[in-house]
Amino acid sequence: MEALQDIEHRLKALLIEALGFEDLTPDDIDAETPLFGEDGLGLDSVDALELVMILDKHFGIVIEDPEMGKEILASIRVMAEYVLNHRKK
Amino acid sequence: MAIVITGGAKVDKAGVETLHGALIPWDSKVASSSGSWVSGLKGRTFFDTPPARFGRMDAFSKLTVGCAHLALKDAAAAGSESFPEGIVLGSLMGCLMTDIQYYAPVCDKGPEHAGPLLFSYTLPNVAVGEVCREFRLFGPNTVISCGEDSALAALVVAHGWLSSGRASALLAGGVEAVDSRVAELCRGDSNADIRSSAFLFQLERQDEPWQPGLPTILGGESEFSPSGFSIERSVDLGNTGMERMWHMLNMGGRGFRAIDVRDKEGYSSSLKVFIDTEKHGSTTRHRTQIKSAAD
Amino acid sequence: MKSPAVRIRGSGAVTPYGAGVQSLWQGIEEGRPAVSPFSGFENEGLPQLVVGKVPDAVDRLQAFNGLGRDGNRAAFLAGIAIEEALRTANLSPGDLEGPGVALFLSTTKGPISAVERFCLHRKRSGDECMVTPSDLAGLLARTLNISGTVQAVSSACASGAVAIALAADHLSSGRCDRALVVGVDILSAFIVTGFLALKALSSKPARPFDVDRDGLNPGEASAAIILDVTDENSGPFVKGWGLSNDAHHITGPDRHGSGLAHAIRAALNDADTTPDRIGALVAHGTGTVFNDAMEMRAIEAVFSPTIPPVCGIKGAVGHSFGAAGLVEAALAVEMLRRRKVPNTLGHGRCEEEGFRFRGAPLEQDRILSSNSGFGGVNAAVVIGKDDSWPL
Repeated sequence: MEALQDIEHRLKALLIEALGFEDLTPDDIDAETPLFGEDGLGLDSVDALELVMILDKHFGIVIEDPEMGKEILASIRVMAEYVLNHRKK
Repeated sequence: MAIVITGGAKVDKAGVETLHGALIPWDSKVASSSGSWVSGLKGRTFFDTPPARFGRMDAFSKLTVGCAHLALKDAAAAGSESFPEGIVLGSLMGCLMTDIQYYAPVCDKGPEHAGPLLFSYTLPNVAVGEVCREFRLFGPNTVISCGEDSALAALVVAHGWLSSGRASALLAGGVEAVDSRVAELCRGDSNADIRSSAFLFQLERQDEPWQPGLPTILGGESEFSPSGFSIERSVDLGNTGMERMWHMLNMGGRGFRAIDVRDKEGYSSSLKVFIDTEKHGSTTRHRTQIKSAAD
Repeated sequence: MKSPAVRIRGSGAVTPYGAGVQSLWQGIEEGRPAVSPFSGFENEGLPQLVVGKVPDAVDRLQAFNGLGRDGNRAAFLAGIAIEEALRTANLSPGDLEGPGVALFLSTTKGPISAVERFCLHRKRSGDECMVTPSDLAGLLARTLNISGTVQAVSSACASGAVAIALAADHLSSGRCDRALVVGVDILSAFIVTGFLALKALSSKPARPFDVDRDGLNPGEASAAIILDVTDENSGPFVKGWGLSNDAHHITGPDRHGSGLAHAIRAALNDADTTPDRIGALVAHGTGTVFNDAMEMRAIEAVFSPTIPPVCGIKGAVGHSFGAAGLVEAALAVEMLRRRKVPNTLGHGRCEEEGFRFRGAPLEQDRILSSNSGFGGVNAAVVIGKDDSWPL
């Protein structure tokens, strides 16, 4: 079973690739940094849709409810914990 | 009243160059020079501190935003005190490269593989949106598409808007972002030499007395020849009008110049420019000379 | 805007109600939306969707000079609209020929089938030369023998209003004597898959400005208007225009609506008129939560305390992207002719105060039509008439 840290690392790498962060490596992203909003990584609503696709494609998790989506995508840590408990792949 | 060119930048397979600066050839550290250079653009190609969004953009938008940044910097460095309110962009191919990038996986694997971010970039207008957002341009803006020199036609539109007071300064020019798949689609030959490039100029309306020595756009026209259509398309395609204009501005001299482009679809555009670098030194140095005379 | 006056001489449209501006008006008057469930993209793996599709009966019509006989649907729909525009303008095809006539085409994806086919087969189909909006504009210009300025305008969903603005500009500055402005977009899997990915579609008929709105219906349509310059004091006229950019986000509008408000104010200034002289607004009203919220903010900012009646047609015919602004201009002409503001189909109620979306008499002779699009672009056009029209 994949450990939380490894899931976090994978998520960071997938996020960097999907959103084209040229100068970042997974180690540059703190797992607890808020993904949205100015205090964090500054992602927006379209970026959120990309993250939802990542959860679906790589972990078999389908998020239909946007409100639930906002909570799960709060940070890499929160996402990884959700993946640990709900993954289908 | 005169519509003058106060700055400009071009990006093509040779590298990046500004109107008042030298050509900087591609450095393999900042952009991939093999294959399609336009697919390997990085934020550091254009910016000391790339905007956070740069990596998300498609190639067409990266090229447009990067070129816009260089053109704005060039105009400011050459002493312009104006800042554009909007932008008129011309592009024949638009975001075809992105269209294929977006839709090919959808065809192969199904609509669940439709990328929302990539889809956002399947309109050339979104590149204009990124320029407006990055540089805070709130005024008139559009993208026009009219044959192989849509960029020249864009300069004609910008000249009109400036002359009639819709804006006092604008960015104008054209961008073509193409790869082998676009070449295959449009010319049936993935090796066809259809060249990617971006040319953007800062145009300003200056009321009398205007800055002497700046290239002045006198006017232009865009027309169409219904009988001019040929099914034999140019194998060779690029921003030819812009290439000629760039060359003309760098050559300097004194007098009227005309740039005319006609393509095999039937589109034609022409632009009349007056340049005068003899009295004030070459285009690339006149601002510096004027500034130092005032010091 | 500089004199001489830019007159709308004729207009034509083909929409999910069928061919003709009258069928659009009639359908809205009768309160029956033309959007409907559609399963035509099953092969592409898409579910049933609510869309605005031009009815099959239209396929049996003849478009101008056989446009679209080769299967080019965008050219076909444009040809139907052009045919009606010529007729209502009381002009023959020869009146659109020559160097004094300009053509402006408003489309987002134009002849999109070429890209779709290429992605499916990974190679070009035959002598594919109908790929870009520029190619489509060239085809229309050749068919009509137009040799003035010919341009395709790509300002996303604002292209319609932008194309009208460019044409009006061309006419008022004397660069042409007559202009044909055509808007067209066709239903395509390309566009639908994208809006599905953005989660911007509603599974029901769209509800512009309604408190429970939840997305747009993609649609197809074409509309055409013929403009010329005249000293006559009849109408209707394009009185002025304004363009702006939100400079905020590429797909999400600036929630304060300041970009759109800026474009509207610029249009009012250009038309030498004031908010209190506007009899109705033809709004963009896509039915998405964010677009419609932004528009209401912008409308409040410009028109408060007395907001004119607002009309939106995207609950009736769906969002036809590049065609929308032209269909809405044709509707504005009809509103001036009949002195009436139609109902906004799909709208039930909203919580914002001061807005009227029900049919009403048109009490002033100026209408403001606006569109907004991806890339943060906003465009507004003032269309008006004088007392002597209609005759």
